[in-house]
Amino acid sequence: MGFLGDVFSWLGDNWSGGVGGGIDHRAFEHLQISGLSILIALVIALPPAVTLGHLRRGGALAINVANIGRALPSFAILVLALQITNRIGVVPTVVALVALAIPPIFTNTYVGLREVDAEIRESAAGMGMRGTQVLARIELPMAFPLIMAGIRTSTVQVIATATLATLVGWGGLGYYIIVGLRLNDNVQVFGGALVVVVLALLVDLGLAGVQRLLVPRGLRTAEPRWAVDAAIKTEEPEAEIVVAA
Amino acid sequence: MRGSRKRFKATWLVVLASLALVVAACDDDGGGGGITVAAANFPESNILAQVYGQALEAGDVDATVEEDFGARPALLDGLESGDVDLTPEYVGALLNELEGPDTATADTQESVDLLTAALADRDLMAFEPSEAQDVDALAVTQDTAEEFGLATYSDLAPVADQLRLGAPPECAEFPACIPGLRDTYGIEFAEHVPLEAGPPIFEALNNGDIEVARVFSTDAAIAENDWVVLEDDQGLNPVQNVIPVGGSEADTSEIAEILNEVSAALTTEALTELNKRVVTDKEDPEDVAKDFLEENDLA
Amino acid sequence: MIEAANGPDSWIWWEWVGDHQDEILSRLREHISLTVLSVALGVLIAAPLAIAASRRRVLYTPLLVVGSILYTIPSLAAFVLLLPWTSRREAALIVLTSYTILVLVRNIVTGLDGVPADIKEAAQGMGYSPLRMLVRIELPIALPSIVAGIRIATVTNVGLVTVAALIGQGGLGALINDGLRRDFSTPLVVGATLSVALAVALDFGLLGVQYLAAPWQRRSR
Repeated sequence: MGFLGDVFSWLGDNWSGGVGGGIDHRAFEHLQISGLSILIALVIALPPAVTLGHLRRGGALAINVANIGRALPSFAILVLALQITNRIGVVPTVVALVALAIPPIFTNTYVGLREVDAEIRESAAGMGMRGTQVLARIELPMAFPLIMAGIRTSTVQVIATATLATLVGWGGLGYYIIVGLRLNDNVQVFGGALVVVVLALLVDLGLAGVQRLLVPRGLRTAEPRWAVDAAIKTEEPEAEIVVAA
Repeated sequence: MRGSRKRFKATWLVVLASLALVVAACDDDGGGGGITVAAANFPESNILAQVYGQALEAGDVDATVEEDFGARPALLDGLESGDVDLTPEYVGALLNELEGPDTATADTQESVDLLTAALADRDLMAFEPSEAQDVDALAVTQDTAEEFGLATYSDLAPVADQLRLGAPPECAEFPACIPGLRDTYGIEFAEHVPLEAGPPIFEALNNGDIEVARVFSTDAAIAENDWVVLEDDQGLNPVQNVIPVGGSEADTSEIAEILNEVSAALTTEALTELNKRVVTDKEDPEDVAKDFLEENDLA
Repeated sequence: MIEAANGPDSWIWWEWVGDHQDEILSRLREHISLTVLSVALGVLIAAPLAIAASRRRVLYTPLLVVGSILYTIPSLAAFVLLLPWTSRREAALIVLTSYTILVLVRNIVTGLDGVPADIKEAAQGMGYSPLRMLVRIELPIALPSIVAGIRIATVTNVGLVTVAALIGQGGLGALINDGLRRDFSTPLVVGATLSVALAVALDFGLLGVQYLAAPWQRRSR
């Protein structure tokens, strides 16, 4: 049996049960911590991003948040969170993952709202809509695909990075990768990584499905739903447009 | 129009040329001449690599020290490919890595003999082991020791179901760790909290997130926190004497003489003290290694 | 007299930073080296793929799918899995390069798609060959989008290179690792701060390149 055969029999042998639970249990833990982190990131990132995007203010801030966020090493945040909070398990993991998740959500939401065509906003105002009505009925629906793209980017990154949680007392799928790495067991490393990748792609597909259901037909884009990252097109130094799935 | 196009072309050229330059300049490759002493990526290994490297230099052998080279598999690859000539190792840990996780025993001579044979199969060799050991150990706080009356591993067996173990994730599958504790002592902990070795485990023990901590016997944190190290009364943990391991470049009588003197001078107490200076006092491995060699008239 | 005691337990122990300037600088150099090399390789690989995909649309979706999957693999696992076949430096470069492909392909294709059809027709009418049109017309017009992609890839890789320290490839991650092992915040904070500063600096540098290379873009609309 080749390497891939070994991987598949490893998957079968470890699917459930065992000390600390099987793959199914760890995958659930993995999703739990990822979902919690994304929810917290949404609560933190959406209000300021929506406000700034609606007011069309703070472009430089949005871009800097995105940049700094991308460059912050999750590993360092995890260790710092451990040292600052003096806690193990959920707390440092969530701190690190939330920091990772905020930038794409923030930038995409901000840019999505800001880029709503001025003519459309003006005609909505001309029809007698107030600022909050324009926001709720025009801007948010039009920005929705971009906001979802940000959430999907964040989610995929969070799921891939939650593997580090196993170093600070939270289980999850990183367990297999770290243990395989330390015991020089490539089958386990590969099997663990495979499960993480499949999980991330499934969740992304699920979110794409949610997006498709919620986006009005007229606003759907032709981009393949596989694309998970937000591509940025720069027009001028302080104004970036995020084009995404 | 024409001017700007020319300028455009020129700028592209500049961009491409500078990119090529950066790429060329960046492709640095370390590795000076002489013996390359490489350390695993933890403080004690860095200290020992500095001790070996500086002792060789003092004995007129050209040596360069590479700290934090990587984990054990990377070091073994380096030794076999010749990128690394010498590295500090531990008898039991290295033997188990080479010959399977259940090979090393609690008998030093037996384990060293097995290790020497295993290394010879790979065209590698070991020098004399030192008496200094850094073994895997279980530590508890004074309070826990008193509350449950703990002094040895055997004392753990009846009360383990009330205790949580903080240990690296791989402990769950490593024979001398959780499986060995279960099979040799009948110890079944209430929970295994996966934590990276070192500070994360120490903090968890002090915070009461775990009751039993997997530590290394030379960890400075043990004395600092006044923890109780439990005795491995049935000899589950293999011996972990510090031993220099090398490739063919290092296989000279001159080098052997120097390293064997270093190993003879190195004790567990000395190693613990060196660790404390680096981990607790934040001194550099290079400096504490120099002091150690000077105190022992090796440099 | 109250003196702020700056020592090993401070967030940043300035004396340590001063004593370790050489080490910090060489870690920074290693970091820049890996980042720049991997993005440069990414551009070399992504550019032809993206140009092909913008011509033959069927290629685009499979490319994005492969890119997305590469992007999802946990970096640590990817490093480790390559080690049996490559040197450590090669493993780091392959992983870091593969993470850039998705963003670069997307942005290059988006940029090329944005070239107005009438401009291309006019160029054809003037007798431009396809290659000449690509170099003279399409790439310059797509430049902002391409540079934006390179910026994202660069900034992302600055963060990812820190993980390469776990397989002994140095960089600022080695400082972070040191901080973890010794419960020592100074190298940790220095490593993380420099990583962010480097990302911002490279980002501005690339903006500058774009400014120089595309003078017609300087004026905002």
